[in-house]
Amino acid sequence: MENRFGLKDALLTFFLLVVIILIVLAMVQFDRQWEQIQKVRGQLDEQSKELRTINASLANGIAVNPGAVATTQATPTTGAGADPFATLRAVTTTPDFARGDWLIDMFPGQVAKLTPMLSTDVYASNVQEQILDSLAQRDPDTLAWTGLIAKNWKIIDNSAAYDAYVAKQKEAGKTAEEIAKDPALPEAVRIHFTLRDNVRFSDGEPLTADDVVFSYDFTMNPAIAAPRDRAYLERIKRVEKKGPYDVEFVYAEPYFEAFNLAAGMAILPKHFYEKFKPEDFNQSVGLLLGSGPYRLEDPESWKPGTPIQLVRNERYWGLAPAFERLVYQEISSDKARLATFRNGKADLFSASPEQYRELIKDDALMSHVQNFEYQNLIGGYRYVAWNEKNPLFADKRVRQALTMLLDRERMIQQIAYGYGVLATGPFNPQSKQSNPDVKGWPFDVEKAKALLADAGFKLGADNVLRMPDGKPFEFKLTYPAGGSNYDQMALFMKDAYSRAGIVLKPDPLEWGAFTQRLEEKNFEAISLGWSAGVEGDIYQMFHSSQMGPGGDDFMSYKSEKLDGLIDAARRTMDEPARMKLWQQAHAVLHEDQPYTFLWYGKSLIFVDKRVENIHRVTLGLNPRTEWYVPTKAQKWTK
Amino acid sequence: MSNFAATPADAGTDVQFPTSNVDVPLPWLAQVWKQSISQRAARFGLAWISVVAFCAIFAPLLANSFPIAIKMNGRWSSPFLHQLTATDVTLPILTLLCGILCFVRRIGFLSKIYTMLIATVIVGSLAFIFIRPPNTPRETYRLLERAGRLQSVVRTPIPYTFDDRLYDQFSADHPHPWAPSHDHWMGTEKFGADITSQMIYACRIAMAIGFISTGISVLIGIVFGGLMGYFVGIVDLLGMRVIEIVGAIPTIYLLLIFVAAFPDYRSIYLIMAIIGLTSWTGDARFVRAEFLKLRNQEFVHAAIAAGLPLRSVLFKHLLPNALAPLLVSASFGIAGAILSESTLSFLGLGIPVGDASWGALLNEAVSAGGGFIWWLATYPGLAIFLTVLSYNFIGEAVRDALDPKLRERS
Amino acid sequence: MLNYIIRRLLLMIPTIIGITLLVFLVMAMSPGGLTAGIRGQEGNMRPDQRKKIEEYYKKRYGLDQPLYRQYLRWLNHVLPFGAKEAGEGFPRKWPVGLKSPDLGESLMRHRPVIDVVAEALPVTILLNLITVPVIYAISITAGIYAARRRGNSFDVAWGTTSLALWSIPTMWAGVMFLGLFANRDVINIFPASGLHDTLAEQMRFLPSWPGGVFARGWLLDFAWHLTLPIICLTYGGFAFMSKLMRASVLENLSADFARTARAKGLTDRAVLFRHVLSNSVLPLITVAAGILPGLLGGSLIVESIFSINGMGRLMIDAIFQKDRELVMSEAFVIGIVSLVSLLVADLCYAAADPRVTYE
Repeated sequence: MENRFGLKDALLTFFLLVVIILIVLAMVQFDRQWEQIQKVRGQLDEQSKELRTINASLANGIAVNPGAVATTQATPTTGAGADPFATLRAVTTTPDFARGDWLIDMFPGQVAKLTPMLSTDVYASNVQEQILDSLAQRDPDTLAWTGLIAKNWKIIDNSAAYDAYVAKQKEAGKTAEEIAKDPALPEAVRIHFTLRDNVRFSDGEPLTADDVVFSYDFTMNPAIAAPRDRAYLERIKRVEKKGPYDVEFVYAEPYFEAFNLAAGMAILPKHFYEKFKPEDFNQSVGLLLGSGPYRLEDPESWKPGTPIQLVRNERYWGLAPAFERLVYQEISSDKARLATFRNGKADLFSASPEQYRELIKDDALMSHVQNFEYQNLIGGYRYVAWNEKNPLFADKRVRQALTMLLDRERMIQQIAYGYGVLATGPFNPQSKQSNPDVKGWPFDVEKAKALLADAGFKLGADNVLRMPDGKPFEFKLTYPAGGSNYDQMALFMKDAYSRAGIVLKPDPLEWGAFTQRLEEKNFEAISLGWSAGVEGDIYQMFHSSQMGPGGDDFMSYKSEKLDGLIDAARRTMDEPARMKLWQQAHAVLHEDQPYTFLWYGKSLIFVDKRVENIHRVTLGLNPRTEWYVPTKAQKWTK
Repeated sequence: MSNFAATPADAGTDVQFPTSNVDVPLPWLAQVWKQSISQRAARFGLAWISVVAFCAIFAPLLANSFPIAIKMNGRWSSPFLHQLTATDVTLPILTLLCGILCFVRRIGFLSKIYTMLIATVIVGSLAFIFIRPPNTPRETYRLLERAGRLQSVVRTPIPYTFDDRLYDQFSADHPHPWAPSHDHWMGTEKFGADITSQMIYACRIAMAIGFISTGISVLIGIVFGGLMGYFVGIVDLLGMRVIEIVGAIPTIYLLLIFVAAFPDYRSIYLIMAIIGLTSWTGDARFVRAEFLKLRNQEFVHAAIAAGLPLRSVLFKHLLPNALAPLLVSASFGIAGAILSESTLSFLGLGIPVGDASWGALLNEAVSAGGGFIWWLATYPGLAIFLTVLSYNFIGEAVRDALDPKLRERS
Repeated sequence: MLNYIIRRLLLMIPTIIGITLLVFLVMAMSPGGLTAGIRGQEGNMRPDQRKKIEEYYKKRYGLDQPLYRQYLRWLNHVLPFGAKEAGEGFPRKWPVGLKSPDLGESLMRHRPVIDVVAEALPVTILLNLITVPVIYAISITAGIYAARRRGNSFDVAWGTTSLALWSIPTMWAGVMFLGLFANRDVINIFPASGLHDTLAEQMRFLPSWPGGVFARGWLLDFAWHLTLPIICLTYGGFAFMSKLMRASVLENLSADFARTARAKGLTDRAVLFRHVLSNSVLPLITVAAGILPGLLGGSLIVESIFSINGMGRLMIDAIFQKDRELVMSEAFVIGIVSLVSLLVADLCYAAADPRVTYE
C-alpha cells in the first residue's frame, strides 16, 4: 500500500504543478522587467552619445547648412523637384498641430524578416519604407519626382545614338546577343545624382555617395540572398561614384522606367551592413538601419513575433513627422483585427467591401473613427482570362459575348458591395494611360446570344449551348481558393452564364496549385486580380513573347498590333508620346477581350478620429508623415 | 453513466458474452438491438437520425425551386420530375428496396447485404447514365408565376432548391444574408441560398459521410487488425508501427495534410476516403486484440485440434462475433466522421463551392464585419450537435447492451 | 524495467521515421510541388525574375534533387550525427560525424524551423497545461459525486449532460461563445482574440488600483483572454473522463477490498476516500496520454477561432503554404510528444499499480 500513487500524491503533484506554474510566471515577469530596463539603458546610452556629438560639434563651431536650396541645371532633362516637405511645413503652422502620440497599424500576417532584400512580404516593405530613404520620391499628389537624398539630378538620354548604333549593327547582320556584347555600343541612359550633404543615418553616420554605390553592389552580390531585388536592379549596368556626394547610374539599354529604378532604390548604410558576412546576413531577420524619418529602437535585435515599434529618428535630416512612434500589430485573423480596431486598440483599419458596408452602419464604431473610400491610382483590377488554346475561347466573338453576358455593374453591387469601378482595360481609369474613348461592353444578353450563334453555337435540347461538333459549352472557372469573395463571384457567373446555356463549374484551387496551372496553361478560364503601379506595364501579361514558360500571357493571347505598341511604349522615354501608345494598346485589348475586365476595387480605410489632416491625394491618402494628433486628443503617450 | 444506460445491477444478466456464442450470431445481435432500443436515449437518437435520413432521401420533395405540378396554357405538367437528378432518383429507390428486404424473412442477413450492394451499384450507375436534368435557371417558374402565366401551381413546402441563389431577387440595399422571415424560415446565407433548403440537402452529405467513411475505416480496421492477429510475429510488429504512425499524429492534422495534397480533385468522395483513411486505427487495434485473446482460448485450441485450420476458426467463426463490438465503435466513428467533415468545411476545405454542408454554413456565422449572424450559427450548429449526439447515444446504448463490463472498462 | 524502456525507445525510431516519411510522401504527391508555394509567395513579378527566384530557392533547399535525397537531407538535418555540412544540395561534402541536430529551414519564412516552432510551441503547451488539470479536477469530482449517488437525479443529469457536452462540436462552441460573449451587440465581456491585450506590455504584472481606478494588470489580462479558449478545450474532455471516473469508482466500490473495509466497520465515506479513490484514479492516468493528440487537434480549431498563434495555426499555415520542412518538423515534434507521453503513461501506470510489470 505504501508504494501506491494515492490521492494525497495526486494532490501533492497538483500543488507542485501550481507552484511550478507560479514560478514560471514570476520568471516571465522578471524577464519583462529586464527587457524594459535594457530598453531604458539603451536609450540612455544613445542620448549620452548624442550629447557628446553635440558637444563636439559645438566645440568645432556649427556648420551652416547649405542643402536647402536646390540648384537647377540647364539641361532640359534635369530635375530637382520642389521642397519635399512643403506640405508638411504648411501643416506645422496649423494652430492645433502637435507632435507626439503613436500611430498603431495592423498587419494581416506575421512579418518573417525585416532585413531589407531578404524580406518577401509587403508588410516588411511597409516598415522599411519608413526607415529606409531613397534618392527621390514621387510627390503623392502631382506625381512629379522630388528629391529626397538627392538634391538634384540630370538624365543624359543617349538612346537615339544607341538605337542608331543597334540598327546599323543589325543591318551588318549581327545578332542581338552579339550587339549587346559589343564594347563599342554606346550606353543608352546615364543618370547623375547630386546628394544632399546633410543626410545622416539614424546612428549618426553621414550618408555619402559610397553608401549609394554600396547599396547597388551589395544587392548585386550573388552571395546575398536577394534574387528578387537583383532581378529588378539588373537593368542598371553599374553605379559610379563621381564625388563624395555625386553618383551616376548607367543603363545599357533605353528603358522607360530607368529613372524610377535609380530613384526608388533604398539606400543602405555601408558601415552597418558591411560588417556582416553574406551567410550571416542571409540568416538574419532584423537588420534594419537607414536614414528615413523613423528607426528601429535596436537595428539588429528585432525578432519575428516581437512587436514592431518604430521610433522617430531624431537625426532625420528633413522635417520630423508628428508621430513619436509607429507601432505595427501582427494579427492574422480578420476577426481579431477588426475586434482590435473596434476596441480602439489600433488606429488604422483597411476593410474589405463586405466589412466596410457593415462597419459604416455601426454607430458605436463611427463615433470614434473616420472613414475614407476612394479609388486608388495604384489599386488593382479583377479579371477573367480565357484560355485561347481552348477551342471554346479562340473566337473573339465568344469572348466578347462572355463579357456581355455579365451584368458587371450588378457584380460590383453584389460582390464588391458597390465599392468598385467598372474596368474596361488594364489601365486605371484615372491614369493617363487609359483611353477615354473606350467604353466598356454593355450588359446585353440578346447581343451576346447573337454573337454566340454567329460563332456557330446552337442551343441543345437540354438547354445547353453546343459547338458545331456537338460538344457542350462547359468550362471550369479556376480561381484562388480561400476568399469567399471569389466564391461569390464564381457562383454569380455560374448563374449568369447558365441563363445563356453555358455551364460553368467553379474550381477553387490553393495558390500553389493555382500558379502551377497557370504555368502549365492547364486551365479553361481563370480569375485573378492584378495590382497596378503608377504607370502600368502590360508587357508581361499581354505581349506574345510572354506566352512561353514563366510568362504571364498564360491565355496564349497574341496580337501583332499590340506587341508593336507595347514594344514601342517601353522604349519611349518621352511621357506624352508614351501615353498615346498605351492608349492605343487599351483600345486593342478592349476589342480582343483576352480578359473580361471586371472592376477596379476601391480602397476602404478607417482611421481613428483623433488623427487630423488626412485627405485624398492622387496616390491615395496623403503620407502618414503629414498626419498628426492635437495635444488634447493624444492617447498613447499619456 | 445515465439512466439510459442500464446499471450493473440490472443489466446484462441475460446477455451472453460475445465470445461464448460462436455459431448463432444473429439472434444474439437481435437481442442486443432490442436491449439497446429499449433505452430512451437510443430511441431519441434513432428518431433524430430517421428525421435526417428522411430529409436526405426526400430532399427534392421537401425543398425545390421547381413546382411539383403546374398548369400552364391549360395543361398540367411537372417541372419537378424533369429536374430530378440521378441522386434524387437513386436514393428513394434504394430505400424502398431496403424496406422490402427487411420484411423478407427467407433471405439471410449476409445475402441481404449483398443484394443491397449490387442493387446500389446497378441503380446508381443506371441513374447516372440516363438521368440528366436540363439546364434550367432556378427562378424560371417563379418568374412565370409572377408574370401570371401559370394558372395553378403546386409547390414543395420550401420553394427553393439548395443552389437557388435568388438571381431574380437582387437588391443592393438589402444584401444577403437575410434574417429568417416568412419567405425564408431560417434566413438566407451569404450567396443568397435559402438556409432551410441547404440544411435539408446537407443531410445527404452528413449521412453519406458518416456511413461511407466509417465503412471504409471499419473495413481497413478489420483487414489490418485481422491480419495482424492472425499472422502475429513480424507482421504484428510492423502493423503496430503503422498503427502508431497514424495514431500519433492528431487526426485533424492528418486530414489537413491529406486534403491539402489534393487541391485539384476536391470532392465529397475524396473527403470521405480521407476521413476513412485516417480513423481506422482504433478498429484495427480492437480486432487485433480480440484475435490475440481468442487464439489462446481453450475452445479455439480444441477446434484446431479437431482439424479446423486456424484461419478458418479466426475469420469464419470468430470475426462475426467481434463484429458486434465493432458496431459500437462504428457508431462513435460515424459521429466522429460527421464532426471531421464539419470541421473541414468549417475551415473552408470540405465540399465543393456552392454545395450544402452544415459545417460550411457554420463557417459563415461570423460575418467579415465581425457581426454575429445568429441564424447561421444556431441552426447548422444544432444540426451537427444533434446528429453527433444521436450517434453517441446509440453507440452508448449498444455498448451497454453488449456488455456491462465493457462499459466499466471503457 | 530499464530493458522495457530501452525497447520502447528503440521501437519509437521506426515510428518517428514512418511519421515523417508519411508526411513527406503525402506532401510530395501534392500537385504544384513545393516550389509552387514559393512561387506563389513571390506574387506579381516579371517572369524572368520569378524564374530566377524559384531556381535560387530550389537550389538552396535542395528541391531540384530526387525525392529520396530530399528526404535524406531532411533526416540528416534532424539527426545528431551524419554529414556535417549538407551545403547546397545534399551531400556535397562528407565530413560525417556528430553534429548538432536542427530542424532545417522553413521554405516559406526562410528562417530556421526551430525558431518558428519555439515561438508557437509554448503557447500550445500552455493551453494544454491549463486544460489538463482543469479536466481532471472537474471529472474526478463529478465522477465521485455521481458514483456515490448512483441512480439519483444528479447522476442521471450529469450522465446525459456529459454525453451532450461531448457531442458539441468545438467550432460551434467557439463560434457561439464569440457571438454571445465577445460581441458588441450581445454581451461584450470577453476579448475576441489573441492572448494579450495590445497594451499588455505596458501593464503592471498584478492587478492594481492606480488613482482608484482598477487596472487589470498583465496576469489578469492573460487569464481573461484565456477563459473562452480554455472552456472550449475542456468541456469535451471532462465529459469523457468523468464517465470513466464514475465507472471506475463503482467498480472499486463493489470490489472485495471495499467490501472487507466496510465489514471492518468503516463508514462509506472512509471506504471511498481512503481505499477506493486512490485505485479509481488509475485508469485516468492511462488515458492522459491517449487524449493528448486529441487535445492538440482540438487546440488547432480553438487557436484558429480565437486567433491564437500556437502550433495549430502554424500547422494550418504551413500545410497550405506547402512549407514541407515546417510541416515535417511539426509532425516530428508532435509525434515525439505523443509517443513519449504514451510511454510515460505506461510507466506511471506501472509505478502506481504494483501488479503491473513490464518485464
